[in-house]
Amino acid sequence: MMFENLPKYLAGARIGIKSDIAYRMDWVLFVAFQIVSPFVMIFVWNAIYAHTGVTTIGGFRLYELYAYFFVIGAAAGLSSLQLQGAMEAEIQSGSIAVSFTRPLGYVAQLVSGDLSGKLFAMAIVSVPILIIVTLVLGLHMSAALVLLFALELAIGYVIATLIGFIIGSLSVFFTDIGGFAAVVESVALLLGGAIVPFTMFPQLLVSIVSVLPFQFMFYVPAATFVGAISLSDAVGTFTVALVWILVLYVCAALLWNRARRSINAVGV
Amino acid sequence: MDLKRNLMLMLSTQLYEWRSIAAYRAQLLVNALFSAVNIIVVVVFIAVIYQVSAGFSGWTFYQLLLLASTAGMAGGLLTYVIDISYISDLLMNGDLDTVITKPFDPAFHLFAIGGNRYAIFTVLSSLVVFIYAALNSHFAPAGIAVFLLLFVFGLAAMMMFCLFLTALSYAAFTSSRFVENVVTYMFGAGSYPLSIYGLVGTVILTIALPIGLAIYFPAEAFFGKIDPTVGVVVFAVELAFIGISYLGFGRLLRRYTSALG
Repeated sequence: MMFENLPKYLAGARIGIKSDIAYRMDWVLFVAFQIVSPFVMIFVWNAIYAHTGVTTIGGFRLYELYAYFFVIGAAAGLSSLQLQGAMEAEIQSGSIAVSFTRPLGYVAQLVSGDLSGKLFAMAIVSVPILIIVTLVLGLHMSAALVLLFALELAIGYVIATLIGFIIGSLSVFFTDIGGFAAVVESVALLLGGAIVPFTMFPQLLVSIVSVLPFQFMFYVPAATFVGAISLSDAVGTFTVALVWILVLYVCAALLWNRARRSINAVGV
Repeated sequence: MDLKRNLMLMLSTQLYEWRSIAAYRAQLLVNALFSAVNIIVVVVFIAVIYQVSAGFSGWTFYQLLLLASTAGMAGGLLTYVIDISYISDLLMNGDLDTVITKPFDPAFHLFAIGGNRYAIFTVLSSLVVFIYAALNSHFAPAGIAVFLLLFVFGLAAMMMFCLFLTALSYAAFTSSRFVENVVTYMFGAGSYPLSIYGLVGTVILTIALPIGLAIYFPAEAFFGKIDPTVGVVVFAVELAFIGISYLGFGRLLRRYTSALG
């Protein structure tokens, strides 16, 4: 069944990439900003280390934080919450009715379009950046580490997609989910370790964040890449990740089953 | 254009939109709550920084909190009055006719109709944090007046700059959606003391991308850290930004092509 639909998935992926790069200057500048955005956090932490006069903060040396924020940039390209925006727009405009008539499930359309654009940007931008960062900062890489990192990015994407899908499904009931989506996005960035590695949080907060799903979107892949957590510890987090994927999947399925029955659209 | 007529447009649009928003009370409450809590993320981040380190040179915890809440207020007000992706779509789809054919100033008109109205709650929650940070800091009463002056004109400069940049990128590349990314990046960079970027970075984030005008320099003025000469120069740059961006936007509108040709 999966392979029977492969041409349809690929068609969806092609459309996703084409629409992403339709306005080339937009895309080029988006890429440029993705490259320069980690520099803000690098300047911030550079100033903090210089003023504090220490070599290690929260278990991170300064050059490890440089690498950390570049990896966060790459992970954010894949794990940023975007699905809910596309769903909200389709539900508000009623164009979701057209999507339902296409010969590919609605969820498959959403994911193939979203994932293809993100993978394309990752291949063109993030992978070269990560190679340069590894070489310049002399990070130790092994095949096992690269494989683990890729697996963690995939887990982060699945969790981000499920969270985005749940928020997007809510737009059937609330119409305008902008405020809610923005808060979840901010909380995910903070508690996921995208702004500051959460190992720097107070111990109580670390204990709470350690059992939340957001760490898999940013912190776990970035910390693994820079060697801040060992391979065995990284593998140990998989149990928590798999439980969250299961929980989020069940929530998403239940919510979508209810939401799709409430969708009304007017055809023209 | 008649200023009174433009202000009346702004007022009537606000009244109409807030009546529409108030009609859906549950949605208003939920969005207000969520828009307001965004500042908590910033407070937590700054608290973590000052817990694990000495923070930024020359900036105490409360001073940085005030800087960050100034960024929150500026970002909220900007989001309230301008929706860059909406303006971009108007330009790209040739729908700007709905704005330029009416007897109002196009810039005023776009400020009146665009933006996310819930962002006012981000402004209010940032204001609460601002007052809390101010009460826990030492500042000169005169600093408040200078802060208000630089903040209001800095924000106006940012608003006009965003409008100008959107029109400029449309004229140059027939697309301007990336401007939203530029603004997001500006606020990301401008929420910290500009001194961390060195002299070149400070100049870029003041003259090329005017985020420092709306956030950093007003916050510095609040604490009396700004040299009077620098203050006058900043104010002059703000006025220049407003004027040049307004005139530039007007000229660039001439390149706009209607959907009907």
